[in-house]
Amino acid sequence: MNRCAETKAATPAPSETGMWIFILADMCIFALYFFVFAWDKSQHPEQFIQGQATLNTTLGGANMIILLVSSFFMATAVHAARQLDVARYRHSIRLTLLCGSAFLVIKGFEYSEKLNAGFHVASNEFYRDYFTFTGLHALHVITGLCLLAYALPFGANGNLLHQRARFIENSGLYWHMVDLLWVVLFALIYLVP
Amino acid sequence: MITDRTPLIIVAAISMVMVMLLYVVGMFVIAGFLPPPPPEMSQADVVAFYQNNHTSIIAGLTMALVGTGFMLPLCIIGSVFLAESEQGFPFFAVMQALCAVVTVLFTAFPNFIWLAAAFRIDRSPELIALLHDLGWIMWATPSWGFAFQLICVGVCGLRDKRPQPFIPRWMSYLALWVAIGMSYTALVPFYTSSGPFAWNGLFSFWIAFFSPIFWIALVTVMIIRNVARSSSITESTMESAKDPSS
Repeated sequence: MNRCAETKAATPAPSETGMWIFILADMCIFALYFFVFAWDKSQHPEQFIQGQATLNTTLGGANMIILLVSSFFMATAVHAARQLDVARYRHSIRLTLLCGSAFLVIKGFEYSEKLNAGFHVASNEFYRDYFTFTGLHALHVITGLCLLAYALPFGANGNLLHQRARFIENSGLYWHMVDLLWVVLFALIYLVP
Repeated sequence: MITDRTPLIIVAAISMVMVMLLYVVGMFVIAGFLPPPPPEMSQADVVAFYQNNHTSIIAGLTMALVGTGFMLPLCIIGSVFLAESEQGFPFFAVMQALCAVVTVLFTAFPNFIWLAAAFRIDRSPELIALLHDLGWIMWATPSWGFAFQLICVGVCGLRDKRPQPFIPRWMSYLALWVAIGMSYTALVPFYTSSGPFAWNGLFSFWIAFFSPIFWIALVTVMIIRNVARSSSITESTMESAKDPSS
């Protein structure tokens, strides 16, 4: 308890420096994607306008809302873990897992819609970027779900919850990053004319 | 259990120099295989590349092949550090060592395939182009061996609760990031023309190849500093242990 309190006092931000370095590095990679996307768009503007028109904004937007809601549940879970509220922690983590899975299911529908319409990763530059970037983001979601599934049994008792506080905070940070990246990806790929 | 690290560090340093000298010089300078040629290269160009640089290709690839062998001692020394930090059966140390074998094999196999392409240069051009593609797909795609090595190091580093862990915690996070950064190489077989994810692309080659090298260089500096510090601590404790008896 004391050690935890000391860490809290020493660092104003949650978690630890290493996790923030990880998040920064991962976001740099995504920033490179955004750059590649913008570059390809400037090279083939026609293709990108036509490609964007075929995307399903409703499903993409629904996914954004799902992830934002899941971020709220994740924040609740981290908060519950700090207060050693075991029941609320387990409940919130389960809801986050549910939202993450729903995101993947919707993503699956979206992909099958595109694939059935005859578009695939090698169709043109737009679909290459669309499938690759959203696919790699989905990979991040899957990683996040694995972390959460691993963190779910920590809610067995308050002691365990206290011991694994850092892991839970890190998973929370990671989950918020995944959410944020989707907001930017959604805006960039689906909305920006 | 603490292993005497000095001989290990010497072996690691020699291995590292040998990898750099043999693999990097062989692949980049002599064979001219790295940076990778574009995947959209025509069949005639591929055959001409093998015909015009026949001897230097065989010499460079063979040199690189010997170099890949030296990656093994380097990786296994990593397992020594992992095993010291683990309690009970050293799962991550064993896992890291086995994944190192996979990494070395998948780095060496493409060289055999390209060597076979260069071996009988008068064979049908289709076959040379086929072997060229096979070699590149095998070289660029399977990064999971190395990614798992990094995950083992990262997880071990985060679980290391000793006051002086073998790498600082942020290096463990960086290892996990490099492992994720290498996952793009799985996309290589999708692209037959140059682009960020083709085998010569920004993500599949430049980031996936150089970010691990950057990490290894960083970790080498850390371990050398760590060893210098711990050996000075050991010396001072040994001296202080000697003092009362003398």
